[in-house]
Amino acid sequence: MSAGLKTAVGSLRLKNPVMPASGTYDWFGRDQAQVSAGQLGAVVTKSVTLEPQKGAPPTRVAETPLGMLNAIGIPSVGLDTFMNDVLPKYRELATAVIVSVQAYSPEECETMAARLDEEPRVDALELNLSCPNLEHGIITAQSPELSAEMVAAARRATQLPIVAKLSPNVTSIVEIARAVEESGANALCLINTLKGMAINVETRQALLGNLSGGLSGPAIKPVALYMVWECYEEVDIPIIGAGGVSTVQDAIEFLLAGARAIQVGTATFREPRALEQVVSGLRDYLSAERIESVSELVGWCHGERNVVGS
Amino acid sequence: MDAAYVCGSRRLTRATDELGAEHAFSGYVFLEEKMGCGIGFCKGCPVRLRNGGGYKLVCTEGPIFSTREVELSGPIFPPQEVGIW
Repeated sequence: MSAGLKTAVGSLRLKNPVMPASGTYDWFGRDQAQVSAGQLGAVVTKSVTLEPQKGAPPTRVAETPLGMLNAIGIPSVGLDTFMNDVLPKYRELATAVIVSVQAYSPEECETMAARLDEEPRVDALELNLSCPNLEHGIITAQSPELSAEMVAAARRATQLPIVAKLSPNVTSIVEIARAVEESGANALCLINTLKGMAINVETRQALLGNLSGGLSGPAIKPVALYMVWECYEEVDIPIIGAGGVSTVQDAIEFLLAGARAIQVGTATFREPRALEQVVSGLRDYLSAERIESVSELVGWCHGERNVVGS
Repeated sequence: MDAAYVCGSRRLTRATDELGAEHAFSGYVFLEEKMGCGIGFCKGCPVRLRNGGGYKLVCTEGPIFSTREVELSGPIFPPQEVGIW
């Protein structure tokens, strides 16, 4: 039945729709990975920057009701070391490799895309346009013009599929989605974290070293789900859904809303096997519901099928 | 005395480090930090290293560190340092 889990995000063919969210799973850490990458539709790297950077000062994470805040600040070894020492290890993984790219200008974005284009093991680029924790406080994906420039710059440098990861911290995500679609993005990843903060009442200071951080986990799932649904209505490029996916039911909801693939992030911190559980849960669901292909579910909750009150 | 181990208080840790330097013994500090995953995935539990050496992760590179290695200033970092990364 695993043939039924095959999906495609534009030209990127995946054995199943499940992948980790950038920065939440590491196959090359100190401990043996809990989930074999070969079971997943794809792996997504932690965002890499052109120059090395250290990341945000402590404290970087905080627990919240039904989720967490993080302000990690993208610690990165820089693109040179990433390509020489990190990326070659991904060659052994039996699945698609999506490299998450954090660029600070369109020029940087073009440079990075051109370099990554030379590595045959890279199957797609995810442009992180939406990190809420960067120095200047500007989220690229809050500006349709800047987002479009970033995507266009990467587009000039590579024919690899480009996934634009957008921010929910906007008035209209559809506006940004259209802008990146028009400038050559092949897919959307919806959504990154929602900006938030926590305060320590003992010190009377912001709890996070970065002052604010990004909210993730089940708390943001309804927000993410609606943004996926809304963008499915308004843009043509495929969507990777992310935001609070913890269980197979969450994953199915995103597929029904219009996502062709989903990412699991925060749930991994609570249950390192969450990715694997979503894959096997999807397989069971298709079998129980006698659905031949997971792609039949994609966008179910739209058009005539979306009967109010049903 | 060959070594001293300390946990809990930054002030005591600083004192251990200073005494260690004076009397030639090693100091080790047992650190804690809020963690996301606890297994090195999320990079959420950094400890600042001395002399601008960046960070190590408490979960996978600690939790025991040499008092010579880690920055022992107060737990609240001044706001001007926020921008250095």
